[in-house]
Amino acid sequence: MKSNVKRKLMLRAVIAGLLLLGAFVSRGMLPYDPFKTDMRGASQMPSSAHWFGTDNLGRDVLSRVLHGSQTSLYTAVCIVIIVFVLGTIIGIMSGYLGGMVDVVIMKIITIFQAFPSFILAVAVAGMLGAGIVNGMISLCAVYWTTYARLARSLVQQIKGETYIKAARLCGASKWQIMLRYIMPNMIAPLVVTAALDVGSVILSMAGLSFLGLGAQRPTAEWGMMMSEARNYLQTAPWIILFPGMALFISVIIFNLLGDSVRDALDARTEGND
Amino acid sequence: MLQILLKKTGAFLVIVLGITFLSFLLSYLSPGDPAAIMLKKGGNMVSEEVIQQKREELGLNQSMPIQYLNWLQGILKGDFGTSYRSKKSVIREITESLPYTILLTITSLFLTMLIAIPLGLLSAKFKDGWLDNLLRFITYLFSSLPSFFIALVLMYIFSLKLKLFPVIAKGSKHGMVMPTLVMALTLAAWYIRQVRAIVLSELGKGYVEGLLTRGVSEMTILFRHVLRNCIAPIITLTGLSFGTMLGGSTIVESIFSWPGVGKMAVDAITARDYPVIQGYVVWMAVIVVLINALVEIICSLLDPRIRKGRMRSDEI
Amino acid sequence: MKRKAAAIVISMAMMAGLSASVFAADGEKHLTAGATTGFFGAESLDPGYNWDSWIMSIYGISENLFRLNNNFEAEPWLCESYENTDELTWVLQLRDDVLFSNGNKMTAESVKKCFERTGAENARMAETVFIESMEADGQTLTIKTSKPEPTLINDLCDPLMAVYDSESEIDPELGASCTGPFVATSFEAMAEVQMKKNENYWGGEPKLDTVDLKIVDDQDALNMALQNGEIDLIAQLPAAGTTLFKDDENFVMDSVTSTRTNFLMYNLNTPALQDVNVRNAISMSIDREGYADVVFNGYAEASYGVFASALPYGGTDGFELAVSEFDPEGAAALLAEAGYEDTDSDGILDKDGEKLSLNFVTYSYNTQLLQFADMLQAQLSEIGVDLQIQTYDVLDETMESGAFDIAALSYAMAPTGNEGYFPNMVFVPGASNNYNGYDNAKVTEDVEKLSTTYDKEERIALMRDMEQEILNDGAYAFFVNQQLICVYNKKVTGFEINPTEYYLITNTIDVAE
Repeated sequence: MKSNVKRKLMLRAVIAGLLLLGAFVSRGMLPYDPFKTDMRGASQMPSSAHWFGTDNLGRDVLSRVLHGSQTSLYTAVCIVIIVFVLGTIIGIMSGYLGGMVDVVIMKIITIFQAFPSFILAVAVAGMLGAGIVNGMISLCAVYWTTYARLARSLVQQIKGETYIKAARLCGASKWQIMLRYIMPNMIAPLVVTAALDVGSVILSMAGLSFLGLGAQRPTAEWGMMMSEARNYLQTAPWIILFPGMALFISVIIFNLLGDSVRDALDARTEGND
Repeated sequence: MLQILLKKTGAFLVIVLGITFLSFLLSYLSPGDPAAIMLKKGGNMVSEEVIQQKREELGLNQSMPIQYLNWLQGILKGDFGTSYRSKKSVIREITESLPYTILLTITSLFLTMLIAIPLGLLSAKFKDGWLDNLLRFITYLFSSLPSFFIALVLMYIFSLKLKLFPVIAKGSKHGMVMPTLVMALTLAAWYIRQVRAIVLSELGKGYVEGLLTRGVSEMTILFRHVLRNCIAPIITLTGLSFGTMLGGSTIVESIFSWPGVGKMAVDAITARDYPVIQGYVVWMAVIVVLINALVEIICSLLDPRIRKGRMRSDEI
Repeated sequence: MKRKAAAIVISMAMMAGLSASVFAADGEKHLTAGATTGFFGAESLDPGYNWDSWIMSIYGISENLFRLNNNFEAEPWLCESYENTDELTWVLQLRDDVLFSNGNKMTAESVKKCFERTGAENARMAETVFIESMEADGQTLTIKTSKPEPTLINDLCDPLMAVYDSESEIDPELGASCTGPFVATSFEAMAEVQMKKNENYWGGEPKLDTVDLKIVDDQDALNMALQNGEIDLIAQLPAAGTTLFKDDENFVMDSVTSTRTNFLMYNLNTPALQDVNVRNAISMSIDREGYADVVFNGYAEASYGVFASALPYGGTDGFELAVSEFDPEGAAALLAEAGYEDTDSDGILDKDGEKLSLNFVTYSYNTQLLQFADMLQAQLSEIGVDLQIQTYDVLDETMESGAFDIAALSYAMAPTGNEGYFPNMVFVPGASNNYNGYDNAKVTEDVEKLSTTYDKEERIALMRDMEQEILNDGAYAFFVNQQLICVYNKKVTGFEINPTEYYLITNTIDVAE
């Protein structure tokens, strides 16, 4: 059973890694310029010259999907890394320092969590103005609280363990204890959360872009491409279909990876499929 | 009990205050000069002096905390400002649209539960059987698809090809079917898995074994005893879904032109109608906080054991 | 379980309540029309506010003293006859049988009051008509102009000069009482307008009982709604939709050459754009033919002049053109001539340390101009010009604040049949839509002269002289003249497409059962 979980994790991690690598490498070897319009070659069906067809302005859909993969996937990974680091630091501070710091941080977290997640994202992006950076900020504002809350409760748990007390007795400093003893012991649950979040961040970003609040033209971002392709759903369905498939497959890959990471690191939640 | 209530109310007020501050901060940080935006609407040329005057009139020259307090004072009197776009009061914009969103949310939630509770139960009952595997596969697919894509595909099939339901919902009874369906399907995918987990943990408890040995049939145990014990966590789940639903309504409402607050917010954002966005954010957050409080109360009434207050959104 | 039951009951009750208000009673004739914000989106139903009277005229709510026919000639409407007694005086005999929708009678006095209010509310009126004073006597309205205004009759066709009851209070939601065949029963800005027939209508009972106008910016949803019978008519169909309806016998598609032109306005306050070579380089990078043929599906004509070739003073014949074809190499050469080169090889040209990066604005709902934006952006990036695109659903504020370098706009250039309409509004310094600071004394003089010239030949000569100046200066790039397309279900009868874009819903429109 155990080795099976590990094998699954390895396989899924390799697939996700290949996806990210592919997104990175493909930018250097796109079949066509993803922004080059060609009015006379507009809305062509998929063919051997254009595997995914061309869009309403004659741009090669395959090139745009590949180009967009970098925007869509890397922004999501970036967001998760940022909220992971930021949330964890805030959580540790809250948990380790305790007292007023803890009370204030917890209140702030509760206030952020009072906003329905997508509404907070929409509001932040809407107020700051549309754009990929503001879109990222808005999603960070939504996701950081999970990590802060989790890190805090983990620190509180670990703080009471005997080996920490022992370390303190041996004269280890506050920072040493935090870095050497607390951090390594709380990383697993946080990584599980992060792995499970990537897929949902990709979807949220696409949702923001679909509403016109994320990536701006002409950036080839999947949500944005789909939003533009809506008008051609009937006449040229491939323009919307391919970025949709790319989005779908990527989210599946990251969700599966997230599940495997959880199964491998956290046997306790086995019941939750 | 009274003490708990007072404490809860105090915490609630702090949160609401925090919500208003955060909402204010957002619009304070947003680019654009409200005075200029207000005056320049309607094709009039305005001099810098007039704008300056308006700025003073609106109190925009004051420091940020003072501005916040002024705004907060207005809010307490029910004055959320005036929409730049429609010139109606924000409160009117919201109260006109809110019933549509609540209606959509309630029907979608209802449909979600109708789909998800039986399927979640069965999925847990036949854990690792073919039904469970099939359901897990389907829910996986749905939770990996963006809701707007599901919406467009359903629109194409049901509205255009089968001509069953209208594309432009605009508040009609018929038009409601499509947005409800999209919201329910995306939420149900998540809901089924949660219900399954809840039921599984309940099935592992000792009394189930006990009932089985006493010869009570499996289905009776499942639908009578287990389901009853799962009601509290399911209500909590529903409360949490309410927020998700309100968020999801932004996309679904805009696609189907459903005149709720979600569409209002998206339209306000494209028009940079900041007072409306601000009012929307405050209202939605307060509604969600209220619903969570309500859920907490219902749960503690249903099950005295959890009065300690652990059933909050900690787990989401 | 009780809670569940309660939820069902409540939602059922709410649904029933909603549906009752939405569906019209049986036996009534009802039409539902849809369009995007650009054609249907009024901010209010106050004819004095911004461009709203135009939309109200389209809705069939407001009417004018004169109406334009398909040849852009003004014909009496709420007016019976008129006389131009001297260069500055016009005596109008108004109809005696016209009531406002609230039952009040339209008199010369009420028209006078209404024009006075509009003038006080809207800056555009001062450049549309030059009314010095008005005198009302019964149904006789005497207008004195401040200078000879040969086109007054045409100018009075501008929906801005709508006739409404300004003496009664203007409802904040349902607006002013007007004289058109329909009156609003509910108004939701930029979303939906419901109307019923005006029982007091003077021009013959409207055939329809109720009309529902839906403003939907999602073009695909609009097309689908027409296809599945939810709506009966799409006004100003974006050309991409024509492929869907062209060969479908269930729908009728009407198109007419209008005076609507898509053009770029270069902001002359932007340092880089003060060089005519840079402006012309951008104008040369526009694939006008490709845009007309592909984005417009051929329902547009590529333009290198100023006005549409259908107009006697339009087209390119006899003009000297700085830009006469799509020429990317020529554009690159012009930029090099202007002193731009890519010194830091980042792909963007620069000069004196300033990158050639420009802020481009357009309407968020105009699918054609959005595609144009993508097209131009790609084209310009090839010759090293960076374009930052921003879109707005109400563009006016941005334009007025001057926060743009290039704007892609869509205007009806001569909808009233008055040649001076557009020049007066755009080319003259200080004019309401002169957003880019364009100022050419020669052009201003021509526009000035035009407004007081009676002779037709002379007017055309003045126009052509002015157009040549505009083309020389290159402060604008007019790139296509588009057609107005309307598509409707074949059960709709009595619909007539009008090139002015001023009229749509009339008392003659009917639906067959």
